Amino acid sequence: MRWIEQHTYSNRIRKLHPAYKAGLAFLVLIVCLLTTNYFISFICFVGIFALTVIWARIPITVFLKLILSEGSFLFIAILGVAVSVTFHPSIGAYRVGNLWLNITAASVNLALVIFFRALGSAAALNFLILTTPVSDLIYLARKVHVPEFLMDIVIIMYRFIFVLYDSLERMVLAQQIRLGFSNFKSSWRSIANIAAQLFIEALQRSRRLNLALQGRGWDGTLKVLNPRFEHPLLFRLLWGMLVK
Amino acid sequence: MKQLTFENVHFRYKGKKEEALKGISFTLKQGEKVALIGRNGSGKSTLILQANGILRPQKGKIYIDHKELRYDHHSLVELRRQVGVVFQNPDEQLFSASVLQDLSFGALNIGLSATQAEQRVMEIAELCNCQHLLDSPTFALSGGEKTIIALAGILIMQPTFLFVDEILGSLDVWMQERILAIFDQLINKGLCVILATHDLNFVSRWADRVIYLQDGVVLYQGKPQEVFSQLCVPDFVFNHWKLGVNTCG
Repeated sequence: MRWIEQHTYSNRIRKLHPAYKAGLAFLVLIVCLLTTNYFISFICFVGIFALTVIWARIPITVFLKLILSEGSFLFIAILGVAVSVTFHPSIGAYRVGNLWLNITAASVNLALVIFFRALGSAAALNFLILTTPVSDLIYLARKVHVPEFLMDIVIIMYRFIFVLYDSLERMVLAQQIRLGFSNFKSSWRSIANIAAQLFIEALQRSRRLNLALQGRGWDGTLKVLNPRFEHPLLFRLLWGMLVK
Repeated sequence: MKQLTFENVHFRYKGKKEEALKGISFTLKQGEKVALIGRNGSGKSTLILQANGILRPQKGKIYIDHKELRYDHHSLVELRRQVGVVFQNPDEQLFSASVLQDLSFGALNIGLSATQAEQRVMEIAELCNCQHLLDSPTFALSGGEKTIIALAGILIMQPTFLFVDEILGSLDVWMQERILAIFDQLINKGLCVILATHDLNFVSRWADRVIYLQDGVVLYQGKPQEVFSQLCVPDFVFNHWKLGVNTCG
């Protein structure tokens, strides 16, 4: 997750108002979800890919690494759509042992539509994730009146992901230097120990964070300054309605 | 000159038989450098939480500027404006995704407008020499940087009394010097720094006054040499620093 966040904070359009980026991402997302033409979805994917790599200067490898990890799940899922397995033969079916694999033009077309629809949608959200820090997204969510308590939970959860991940790394190391994870059995024991410890640590840390927040005058709402953003004229004209 | 006074403060945690604080009494004054020392579990952290109003004395009173502490919302906001606490682990103090936002939290909580808060953030960032970190995500900071930001997050509220819970021990000497330089600047302007620490060598060099806690009681308080002469300290602690203290091998 850290490698994603590093690019989020260092890309070329980091300072662009998040409404523009979110607007673009959701526009592409909606087009991909509504269209039944996989070519349009593919064009959306290519367009987003180009914007991410050329405009935002996110390295190609980063974008591909992210999309491939999502695409691998997607590929497995659409196999089930493209290929149906039966015990009975039918026209154009392939025999594998006692089973028959049916692949029809309609099922392949449906699989392609779903595949590119999901790929285009994932690429649109990846664009947003890779170019917009969470703090900016939280700002945007507040602007569109997402309830404060939900945003406070998001802020704390996001922070705790990294804090607990650091703890997890230390715990794994502590197990390894005492021969944890050395074989299958000890690995399971180590995982169980770490899970239990991490849960306790999460509780203790949340209690201490609560004390620290109280010490800083917390009154139930996490009030923070809004970040400053860039508003290029072209974007103002295009999406002026979205930005207050 | 403002004062923070503990008068016979007692406190017991729920489910514990023994009191964590047993009749603590002392007074802190503006511009003092005070070291709070004592063994693990002696009550230092509990005392710090009492000063900030997070815990309340079950017996005894705390006064700030000769007025007894009250615990209604308005009084607590006022108290936390005057008494700041920096905890040992900065990861448990930083909550926001970005440094700028984290620093602004305290400033907005004491009622500053967004413009005033932003101005205060810039001033504190300059004081702590961390302007370059304002746009950084908190997760990407080093341990020392996190400590500086946690400290800045409290200093932004411009406290009169600053309790610092064992933050120096985990820092390199350069970062320690940087933090002590910040303290010195603010002490000259009237800040009282109360540093909980186990580093007796450091205490002997830095503190004007030492408060020694043992089992929830202030056993000794006074100048470092006076207090150390009463203590039984392992001799290796003062190996390179001869003060004629009472060591016990």
